[in-house]
Order: sequence, then structure tokens, then C-alpha cells
Amino acid sequence: MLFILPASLYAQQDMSIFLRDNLIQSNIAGNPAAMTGQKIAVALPDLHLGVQNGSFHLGDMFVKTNQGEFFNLEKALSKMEETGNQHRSFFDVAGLAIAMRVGERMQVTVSQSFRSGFQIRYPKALAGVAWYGNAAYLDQTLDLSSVASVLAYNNIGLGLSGKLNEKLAIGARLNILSGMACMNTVDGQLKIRTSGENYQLDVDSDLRLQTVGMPDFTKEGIRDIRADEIRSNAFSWNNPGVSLDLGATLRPNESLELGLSVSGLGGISWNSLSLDQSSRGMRTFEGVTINLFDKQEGEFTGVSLQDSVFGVLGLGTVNAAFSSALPVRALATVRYTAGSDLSYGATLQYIGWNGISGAGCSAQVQRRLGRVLSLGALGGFNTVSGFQAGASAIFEFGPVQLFLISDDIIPFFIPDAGGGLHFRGGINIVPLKKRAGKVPPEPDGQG
Amino acid sequence: MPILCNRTSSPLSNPPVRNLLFAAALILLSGSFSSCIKDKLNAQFAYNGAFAAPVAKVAFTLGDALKGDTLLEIGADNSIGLSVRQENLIDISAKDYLDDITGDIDETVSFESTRGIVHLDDIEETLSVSIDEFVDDFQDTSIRNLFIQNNGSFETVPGFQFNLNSELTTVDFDEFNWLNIETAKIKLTFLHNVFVDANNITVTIIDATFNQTIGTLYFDNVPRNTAVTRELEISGLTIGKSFKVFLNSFGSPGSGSVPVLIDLTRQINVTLNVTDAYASAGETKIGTNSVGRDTLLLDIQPNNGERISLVKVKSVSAEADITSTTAAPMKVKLFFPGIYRNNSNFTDEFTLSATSPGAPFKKSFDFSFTDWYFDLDPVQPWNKMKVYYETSPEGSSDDYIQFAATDKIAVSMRVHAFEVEEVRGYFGRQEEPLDAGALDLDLNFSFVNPQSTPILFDNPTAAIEVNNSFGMPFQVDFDMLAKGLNGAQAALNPPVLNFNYPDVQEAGESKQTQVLLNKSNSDIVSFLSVYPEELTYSGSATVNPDDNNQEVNFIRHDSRLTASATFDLPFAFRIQDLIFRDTANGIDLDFGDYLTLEDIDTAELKIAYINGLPLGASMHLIGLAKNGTERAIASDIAMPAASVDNNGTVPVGGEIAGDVFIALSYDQLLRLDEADKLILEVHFQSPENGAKLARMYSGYRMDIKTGVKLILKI
Repeated sequence: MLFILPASLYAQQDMSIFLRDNLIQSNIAGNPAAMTGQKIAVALPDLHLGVQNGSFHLGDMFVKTNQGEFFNLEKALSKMEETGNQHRSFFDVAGLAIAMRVGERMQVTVSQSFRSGFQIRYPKALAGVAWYGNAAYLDQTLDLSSVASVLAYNNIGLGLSGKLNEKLAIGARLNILSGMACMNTVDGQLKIRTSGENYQLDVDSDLRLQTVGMPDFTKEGIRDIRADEIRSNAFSWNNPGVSLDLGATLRPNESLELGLSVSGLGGISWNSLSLDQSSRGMRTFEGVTINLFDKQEGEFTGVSLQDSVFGVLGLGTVNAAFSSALPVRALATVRYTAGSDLSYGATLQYIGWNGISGAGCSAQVQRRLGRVLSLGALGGFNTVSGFQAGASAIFEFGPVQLFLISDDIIPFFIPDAGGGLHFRGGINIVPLKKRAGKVPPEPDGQG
Repeated sequence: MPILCNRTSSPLSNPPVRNLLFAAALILLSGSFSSCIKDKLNAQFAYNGAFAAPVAKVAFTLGDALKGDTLLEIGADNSIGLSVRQENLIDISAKDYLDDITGDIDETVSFESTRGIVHLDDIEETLSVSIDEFVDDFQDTSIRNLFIQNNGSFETVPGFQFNLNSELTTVDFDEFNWLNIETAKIKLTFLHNVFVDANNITVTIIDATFNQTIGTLYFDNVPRNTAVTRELEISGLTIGKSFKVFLNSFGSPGSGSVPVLIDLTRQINVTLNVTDAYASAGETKIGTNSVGRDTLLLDIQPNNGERISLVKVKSVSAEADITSTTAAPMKVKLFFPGIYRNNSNFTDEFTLSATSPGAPFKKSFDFSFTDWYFDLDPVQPWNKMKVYYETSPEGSSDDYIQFAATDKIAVSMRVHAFEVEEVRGYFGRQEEPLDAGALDLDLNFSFVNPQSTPILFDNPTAAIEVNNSFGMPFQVDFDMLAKGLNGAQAALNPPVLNFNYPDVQEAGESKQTQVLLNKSNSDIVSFLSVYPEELTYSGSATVNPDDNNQEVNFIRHDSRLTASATFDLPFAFRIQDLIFRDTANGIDLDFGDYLTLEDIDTAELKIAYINGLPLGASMHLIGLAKNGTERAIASDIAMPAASVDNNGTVPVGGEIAGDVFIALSYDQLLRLDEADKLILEVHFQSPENGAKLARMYSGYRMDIKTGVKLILKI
């Protein structure tokens, strides 16, 4: 069921934000060396979500019939590889962020956001069992070995960026983290067989999951996401962590800017309500053995199927602290400014998290149309969901910035044609404009 | 550059227009976006995954089912049978009968002894007197001188006659002091050897005590050396113990001319006899004679006319109230010729003093451990026993006691409360009802529906084992009634049973009788076919059924007749439709945290079975609501019987395996979930439509594995 509940999960992909250096988000979510043109800028809460799905398009999960659109995995399953299918998704809610110029060459940013991500590498059989049920695979041994990661945390960042000279700027952000939820797959081997005789379940597993806020599969009644626990963790320092984002920009000339950033260098120590859930070995569940003639036994009142399934896994749970790394993203960017209203960019991105990595590249263009509107477009490719196309629009109404950005917009319009989805949207307040003549020329030509 | 970038040559160079156009484009773009994504967001989730999981498995042998069961037994050949033993099906203890025979014996024997007129022993006193003792009283001096002067010489003696008043002697009776003579004869005998014959002798007897003349006797002729007796009768006279005898006259015809030797030492012997004396009172010596003697008869009357010949008594209450008006203490002796203790007759003696009116002398008799023979009367050698009693004066024979003819001794002896060791006799033909009872088979067939067809066991038996130490023939006519399902009843109808018994020489032993009831001599098959839960029995026992009064019956205190019944019920039977119906708690359909019943499109229950039992089954699952409404959930789930040979046994390889799929729709699942109780109704049938025998062995195995496939509808 985790597979179909990815919407609240996280893995960063953000290849176009660096080009919008008039947004405070270009620093917070892009390159910590990036400096906005404003003396001070305030980001109101915004939303950032994305999905990268391998093997099939998101639209493959839907079937259109005379009765309407139906969620249906059959097509997606037909496209899946037997093993190595990947899925990533993330969901961020950013709180307030402030960027403030300090002198002519420095900028300080303070930001807060709730971040969550999910990724999984799974075999086709896992999705098949989820969709068709194990009854469709009687007397077959299914290898469901998967690696899944879940991470949710509260991030408070303090960034400092500055120009070392007219060409080189560097930046760093120290993120103080408070872990909310986590799941690390230490071992993910799982084979299951359902016999045709009486649906006997045979399991061969080498599973080990480190979890916080995730279901405790050994305990009936708390097999759901432990939302209360996650909420309480958000505003405590039970699971502290720290990470560092580093970045640099180089402007060889006024039209060209090269950027390089690495984010997510750090981790979280999970101390509170942390579980180490494991299942190892071969087990068989033939059903409840009823001894009709044992008077000590109570009356047979039924079997919990869920208990049966989890029971056969033989999961054992112990409380154990652990630590987890954040997804690490390396981003290399190139921006070329062609006039005051037009700029071009290209990115090369690498994301690695818990042994699953992916890369992507993109080419972008952004055009400012008047004083209010800027539009952008992106074309790219990533190793998870393949080709992607994006679009963005930024409105500036006085001190108010409204931005709508998508690096992967195809499924919004052609659901059957895209494997990924991305969206960022929010409002910033820029109360004070940049000081004329003392700031570098703006790529959008506002200066 | 694209035209959009041309600020001067295009209307788009006008910022308001340009912004308007881009805003319009954005709206169109957004509209396109929302129309495309809307379909996805509004997509319905039609999920029909099918999940399968095992539910339960049951594997057992019939031997497993019997573990801990004390009722069912596994034979050496692993065959299963029911063995129910009922101890004391019949239990007759000696007490039951002894109470009948001796318990009600409460006999009182009374006798009264009045002394009456006492016959006294004859008394004889003889006195001798010589002539010289009274010759001086001769009135004729010539004769007197003749005798005195010629004493020792021969002389002729002339005749003479003198009137005398000489006291010859005083007779004292030692036997009594005084007597009220009813009648008596007093005899006086004269015998002398005087030298001449005597005649005209007159003698007077005077009671010196009361100074009264008893009588005068006259002897007209008393030849020498010839005893002559005269007697007189007295009556109504009180006499003392001293009689004086006076010689009133004495004469002789003389010797005539013949000289005789005059010898004054010659003796005259006077003998006084009191004979045929009867006294109504007096004071006499005790003597050795009993005062009273009688024979009593103890005639017991058992309630049922039993003829008792012997009672060995452990104890009995025997008390006597005795009254006596005899002034003097009396010795009472009771002799029981029919009662023995240690091979000796039982006697009892005691002293009885005069009792005050209303205050009898109480006497208890110790008859413990005595044998009472009631068969000593050859005319009626049963129920009768004589008792002799005798009263005699207490004390030395030289003692004097006063007595009166009206002296009375009354004895009232009661015997009851027999506690007997043994009773013998002939107790007659008696029919007694047996204590009715119930035999609890400890079987509960409540799970069997009353509509079930009868179960016909192949060869059930009931062994009745009797132990009898009563010494009498017993015949028992009993019947058992089986009460089973739905009020069905069936009788066992066993034959009349005759029980062995010990004879007299085997008293104390117990004789066994074993009777095997089977389908040949009883209706045991139909008796057990009603699924009996309770067996009641009743009947009667007849003692001496042939009424042969030559039988010597006996009952000892520990005699007992017990009969136990052992029902051996090999589980080999034919059954057409044994309907098992049991109610269990409802099942909580727990599909986990993520599914509800509404998410289930269809549930398919699979039953994989290997049936090693020679019984086919057809199962029905019924939901029972709280208001008692039954709703079928699944019906006709059939599982055929294993194959059997002609003996009803499942051969190796006779097991039958198969799968049963039970599709449960949402409605059926709903019924299952909502049912307060679940009724499982199983119809069992022996092979070939119940026509073939099914024999049960402990090794028969049943394997059932169940799994469920849930087809979801989300």
C-alpha cells in the first residue's frame, strides 16, 4: 500500500529554480550562493511537490472507459521492468523565508520548511501483487525485494552568501533539522509464495527497516502512518539533525553565469520512537491450527487476514536509535543572459539517496514580458522518468511576487505522455527594491 | 529573436497589451491544464485485487478426539467404542430383607404363675415306747403287778382292758411350722411285739401348737408283730408342727393258758404319717421342689409369612416386666431350648423378690450372639420356639418360708429390634419392586438434530454382572427405557434374569451371574438408536420364583445382591442422516486495518480436505440473529465419505481428497458478519446412502485446510 500513497513523500528535483534569481527560492532551493536583487525579500509559505516515476507514465495508471476515468495499474504493469522500477516523489511546504542584503556583497537568508520524500526501487511483482492480489500468483514464488526510503523533517536554514569578487560568489546554508518520519531499508529481500491448495503463505525474507513514524507492522492497530508521532516530532528536537548546503557561482562575463551547488550534506539522528523492524528466514503460514479437542483453547472466532499476512512475515521490532542521510543533490548550472528580458540556462543534476541515484539534465529559457510577467520553458531528461518539459510564470505586482513553476508539466496536459510531475508555487513579498547602481545587473533586465 | 521579444514592431511591445495577452494565454493554459488533470483527479478507483490467505487447518485422528475422554475406549485393534458401566444397577442389601423378615418382629410372651394349693411331701414319724413306760398307768393292779413281778418269767396273762391317758410321744414336724391344710391324711400305724396280742386301742392325736385334737383312732385288734394302720382325714385345719399322741385305751385278750415270757422291755412302735397333704398356706421348709413351672411358646409372625428356622442374633432387645406377690424371694429360671450360645442352651436365672403393685421388676436378657432355632417343633418346624420357666424358693432347704395358695408371679417378656447375623428358613415367593433409577451415559446428543434418522449400531452389547450372596433364588424382570432426541423412546426388553445364589454350605460367599444382552436376546439396537441421553430402568425382583418351600433360604447381615451393567458400544453403525447442529459465537470478519466488508466483492472460501472417515458430510452454515432468525450463509458443502470394505472399515488408501469452493457474496458475508451466532449443521451419512456399515477406528484421520480468497471492490 505504500506504493499507492506517495503523494506525501519526498525526493528533491528542482532544475529550473536557479534561473529565477529574482526569487528568494533560487537561493533556498537552488544554489546557496545565489543572491536576489532585493535588499530584503520575504517568502510566504509555498508549496513544492514532484513525482518521478520510472518504467511507465503516470497516465498509464488510468483507464478511460464509457463510465469514466478509472485508476487502473494494468497498463502501467505491462510497461514495468521485472526488476529495478523506480519511483520518487516529494512534497515540501515552505514556511516563511527571509533574504536580506548585508552590505553590497553579502546576503543572509533564514528559511523554514517541512520536507518529505519517498523513493522506492521495486520489482514488477510487487506492483502486481498490490494490484492483482496474491491470488493471481498462486503457486508462484514472487520476489518482492525492494528498497524504499521515506524521510520527513523540519528544516530551519541559515544561509550566507557573498561575492568574493565581481565574478565569484559563494554561499553556504546551515540547516538545523528536526526529524519527523523516516524509513530506511537496510535489507529489502522478500520472497513470497501462495500455494494453490489452501493459499498457504511461504515467505523467505531478509528484511530490515529502520522507521520512525511509520507503521509498526508487528502491532495490530498501529499499522498506519503514525501521524500523531510525526506531528509531535515536527516541533521537538527528539530527532536532531544538521546539514549543509554549499554553492558557488562564477560569472566569467556579464552574460554567462556558471553555478555549482551541493545540498543535503548531513543527516538526522533518530532517537525518539525509532524502531528497527526486521524479518529474516523462511516461514510458512498454513492458517490457524485449530485443535478441536483441546479444551484449553477458546472458541474459534475467526482469523485476521491482516494478522495472518504480517504474522507470516515474522517481523520483529525493537526500539533502536539510528541515523539517516539526506538526499544529496549536486547541481551544475549554466545561465546565459541575452538581453535584459531573455535568458537561457542549462542544468545537470545528480541526486543520490540511500543507494538509489539518478541524474538529469535540462535546457531552459526565460523571457520577461513587461514589468509584471515572466515566462519560462524547460526541456530535459532524467534517468528516472525520462524526458520532461516544464513551464513557469512569475507575476510581479509591485512588491508581490506570484510564481508558478513546473519542471515537469507534461502529465498535467498529456497524462499518458509523462513519467514525472513537478510543481512549485507561492508568493513572495519584496518590500524594498534593490539599490540602483550597487547591485549586479539583473538577468531579467530589471536593473 | 521571437516576435514576442520585439518591443517596438508588435502590439506586444505595448506592456499592458502584452500583459493582457499573456494573462489570457495563462488562463487558456490553466484551463487546458485543469481539464486534463481534472479527469485524473476525478478518476475513480476501481480496484479488484484478489487476495488469498490460509484461514485455518484442522487435522485430527479420531484417537485425538478421544484423548481425555473417559467414556470412549480404544480397543486393541484401535477400534473405537463406548463403554459405560453402571455400578449398582440393582443393589439389594440384606437390610432390605432383614428388615422385612425380622425387623417387624415384636413379640411379647406373657405368663402368670399362681402358686395354688401346695401339695406337701408325705411326713412320717415313728415312735417306740416300751411297756414298762406306761405299765404304771395300768388301772388293774393285779395285771400291773403280774407284769412287774413276773417280768422276765413265763406266766399266763389274763385278758385286760385299761383306760389310759398316756402320752405316748410328741411328734415334731421339721418340714413346716404351720400349715393351712386343705386336705391331708394322717395315718397311725401300730406295731408291737408285746408278749400278748392287743386290742381295743384308742389313740388321740393332738395338735400341741394350737392345742386342738386332730383326731382319735381306734384299733380293735392289733396282733403282736402285726402292723395295723388307721387313718383320718383332716381338712380346713391349721396345724402346727407338734403333734402329741395319747394312748387312751389299751387292752389284750391275754395269753389264755399259755404261759408267755413277760418282758416289759417289749416295744410298741407307733408310726405317724401325714400323706396327701395339701396346704393353702403355711410356713414350710423350701425343700427342693419348684414352686411353679410352665412351658411358653414364642410364636413369631413375620409380615410376609416367612418360615424362619434359624435366626443368628447379633443382638435383640428382650426385656421382661415381672411382678411377684410371693412374700419370700423366689428364684426364677428360664430355659430356652431353642436358643444356643456357644452350642449351649441359653438359660437365665434370677431372683425375684416381692414387688410392689405397679412397680414390676425389670429384667433384660442378653441374647447377643445367640442362635435361635425355630424349627424344633416337628409339627411346625418354623417360627416357633418353646421357653420353659420354673420358679422355686430362694435360699437353703432348711429355711422356712411362708406361702399362700394365692401367691402369683407374672412375667411379660418382649423381644424386638432384632439385629441378626443370619436368618434361615423359607421366605416364600415374594415379588418386590426394584428401585427405579436412571443411568447417565454422560452422553450429550444436544448437537444432534432431532430430525436425524436413527443410528443403528452393529453389535452393541450390555453385560450385566451380578454378585449375589443372598442364599435364595432371585429372578429379576427389569426393563430399560432409553430417552433420546425429540422425546423418542425405546425399550431394551431384556429377558428375565435368574441369578445364581449360594447354598447354605456356602453362606458368606457370593455367587456371580453374567448375562450378556445383545441384539439376539434384546432390543438393544433399537434401544440405542434414539441417541439416548438418559436410560431409566425399573422392574421387580422375585424371591423363590418357583415357590419351592424345600429351599433353605438364608440372609446374612452382609448379604447383598448387586448388578452392574456395562454397555459396550462398538462404533460401527449405519446412519442415513445424522444431523449435527452446533451453535458457536459469531465470527468477527477481520480484514485488517485497510479493508472493510464493503470493500469485499466476493469471498471464496476453499476447503481442501482429506477425509479418512467413513462418513460423508454435507455442511450448512447458518447465521443466527439475536432475534432468533436464521439465515442461510452457505449450503450443501459436500464432503464424501471414505470408501469402506464390507466390514465397514476404511482400507489403506480409502481416504478421499478433494476441494470445496464456497463463494460468498457480499450479502452472504454480511450475513456472516452480522450473525450473532453461527449454526453449523452437518449431515453425516455412512457409505452408500447410509446402507453400508461405518466402523470407527482411532487411526481415522481428517485433514481440513481452509483458505479464503477475497476479491476486493474498492
